[in-house]
Amino acid sequence: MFRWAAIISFGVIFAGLLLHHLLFPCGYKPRFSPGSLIRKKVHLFILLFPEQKLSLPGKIRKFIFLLGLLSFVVLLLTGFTPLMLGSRLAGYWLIIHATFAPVFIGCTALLALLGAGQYRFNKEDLETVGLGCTSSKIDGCRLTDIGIGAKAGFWLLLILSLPVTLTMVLSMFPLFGTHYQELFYHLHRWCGLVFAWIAIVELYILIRMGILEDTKKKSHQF
Amino acid sequence: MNVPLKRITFILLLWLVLPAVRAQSVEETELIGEGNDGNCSTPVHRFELYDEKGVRIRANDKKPQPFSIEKTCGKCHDYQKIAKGWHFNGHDPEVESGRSGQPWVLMDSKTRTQIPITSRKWQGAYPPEQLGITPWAFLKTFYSHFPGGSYGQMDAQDPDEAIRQEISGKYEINCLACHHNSPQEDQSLAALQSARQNYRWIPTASSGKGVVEGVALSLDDYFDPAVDEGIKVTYNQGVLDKDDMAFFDIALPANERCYFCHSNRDLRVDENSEWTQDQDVHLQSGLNCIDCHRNGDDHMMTRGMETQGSGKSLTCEGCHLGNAADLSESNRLGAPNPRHLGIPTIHFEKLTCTACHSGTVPEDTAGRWKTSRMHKTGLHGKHNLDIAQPHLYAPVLMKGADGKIGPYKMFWPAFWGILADDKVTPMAPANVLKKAAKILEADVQKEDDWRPLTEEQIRNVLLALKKDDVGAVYIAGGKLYQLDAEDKIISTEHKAAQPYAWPLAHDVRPANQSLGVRNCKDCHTVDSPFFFGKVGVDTPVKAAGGTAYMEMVQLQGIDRLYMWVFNFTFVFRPFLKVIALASCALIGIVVLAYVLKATAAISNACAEEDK
Repeated sequence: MFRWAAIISFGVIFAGLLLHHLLFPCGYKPRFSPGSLIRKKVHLFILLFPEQKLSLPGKIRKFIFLLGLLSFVVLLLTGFTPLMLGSRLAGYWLIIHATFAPVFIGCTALLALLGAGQYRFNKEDLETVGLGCTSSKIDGCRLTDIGIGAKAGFWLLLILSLPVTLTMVLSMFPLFGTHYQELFYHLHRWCGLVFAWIAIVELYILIRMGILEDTKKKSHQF
Repeated sequence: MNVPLKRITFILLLWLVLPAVRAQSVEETELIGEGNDGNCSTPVHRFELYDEKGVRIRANDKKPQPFSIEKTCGKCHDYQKIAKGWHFNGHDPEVESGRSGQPWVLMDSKTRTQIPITSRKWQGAYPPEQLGITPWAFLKTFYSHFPGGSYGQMDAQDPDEAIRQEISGKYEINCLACHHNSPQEDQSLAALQSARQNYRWIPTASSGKGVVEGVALSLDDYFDPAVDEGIKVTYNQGVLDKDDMAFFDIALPANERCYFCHSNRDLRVDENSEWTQDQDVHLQSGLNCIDCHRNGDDHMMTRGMETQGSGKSLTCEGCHLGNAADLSESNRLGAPNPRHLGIPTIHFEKLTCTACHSGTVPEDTAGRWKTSRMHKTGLHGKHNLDIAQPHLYAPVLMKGADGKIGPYKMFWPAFWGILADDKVTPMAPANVLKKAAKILEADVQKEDDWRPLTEEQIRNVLLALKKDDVGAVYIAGGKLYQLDAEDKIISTEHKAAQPYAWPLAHDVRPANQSLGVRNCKDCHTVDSPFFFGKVGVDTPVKAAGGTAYMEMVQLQGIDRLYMWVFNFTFVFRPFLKVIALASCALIGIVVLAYVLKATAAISNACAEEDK
């Protein structure tokens, strides 16, 4: 069941994001010219690097984010690829998965510490939710609209990272018997799956935010 | 047809049919030892004794005959049904074989042969007839720990053997070997009588009811048991009472009875230190072998296998795990539920229960063991033997036919055979000796119990065999030796050269002596005996560099590098735990701090609105 739930849900999420991207494009026009596609890819790649204007704490945060992102991708691939192939997480997949897991949770914790202030909800968010947005529109997208999504995603990911991690770590201690081992294993898988859904959507939102911010800056320059 | 004629016909039919119906019903109820009327007490076994011809034995017989189990016990118990039981059906290839078990091992030091023998379809073992072993020869070879029946009751086909069988009688099932509760029951004496080929006298002698004098083996082929004085039976005083009835203390088999044929000895434990060792934890807790290894009238005992149909709940899981669907099958015999704290469930998919709980705790090198059947232990007296071979290794942690890793006993087969269609058929040692006795010199000094064999000798033997037997090969030490097109010796790996292994189920250790009870490092280290313990590769072929070894991981179907890397990662396991717990604590604090902050903000906002 879990295998099919994972396959279908990832399919739905990726299809949904693609559909959303096509229906509500932002940042570039025209959308499907070869130049635009290359430019988008280069832009996404550049987003990975720390900006020159960043301060040292900003650079550290960016580095932690990128390391956490890399770990997340590795965990996602090692966690779900064997499953998609019809086997289970074992062998070298498991070794890699377990190697990157502490890196990921460590990065998540540091990001929580360094980024929580930035992602806290404010009055504007409340207005967005309750009274509608008053901020400027860029290519049909409102920065605050996606901003509140990113904030919600951030906090959801932080909260979900706790059961995802604790279910595995606690099972390593001689505290819980077979029943709880089973329970923890299934909780880890399902929480991990939900975490992955939210993380993918969060990444999509962050990318869109990055593109929008860049576009906004450029529109101010000209 | 008129009415009187009908009536006469009816009466006539009734007269013909009734006795048959009556006879059948009598036959069904005649065997009072069959079935169960619900009374749990053990019936007193005071009964008449009969010889093999069905003649009653009386105290004042001038020439007393040995009693026959089939004729005596068979009066009340269905002997033929029992003869199909697990201990007595080994000759029948049609019987469901179940998982591999301990075979008989044909040893021949001259031809450097040690080959597993059984008629059961066990991987790596060969039926006796493939080696030209007749039922009579089987009995002569494996006489000492034989329960009777099976090959012991098959008619000899060879005329010479038939003559000897006429003198020795048949080796009937010896019910008393297991069920005679008397301390006088002597299986060592049964083995001695068997070695003397006094087969029909075995139960009389071993039960302690009579004294048997004479040796059938030494009697002339022309000996006539009806006329000649050959073997004399004297029943002990009082065995037959004034009614010519004998009392036998018959009971369910005691552990000591099972042990005669089912004992193991780890040779790493000095024979003078045996007393320091513990028995199986189940026995120490007050259980008996038959509490789990049960059987009905058919004597098809449960073997404790999870795959076995009947008695499925009489397994490790059956007793130690609850069964929500059937309360009567839950935690049988008061067995405690395992806690398995901190053991990931994947272990239960990959390992048998016995992997962590049975046998001696794995050491760097698997020990050499002896079993009572293979090494003929438990024989006290002149016929005591100190047999060293086959070199049996245990506990070897390897993957079984069920796909799970568990502890096994194993030895390396060594034999001459014919390779055809990638299948090796063994050759009888006598046939090899006929052609290559001179090459296989027997007076060479033994090394590690083997008469050493060089590759040059193997080549010469194969050349000698090649004349008549195309495709002759020699199997030893996990290798198949054969001649190439230029008659040079080459050795390759082959399925037939794989070690013969069967599960080691006992002795079960207490929970606190199980693997994993301390921590993961009981097994998950880069040099753990569980994965990297060494198993000797036993062979008479002496190679430069001394004894060869292989690691258990090679027998587990696991890539060695992977296992080493996986175990190496456990060095970092404590760091993983610390980082993960610290990270969770930090995330928890951050989330909690902002939840509190949000609560305060909402509270303030509400207060401002009120103003």
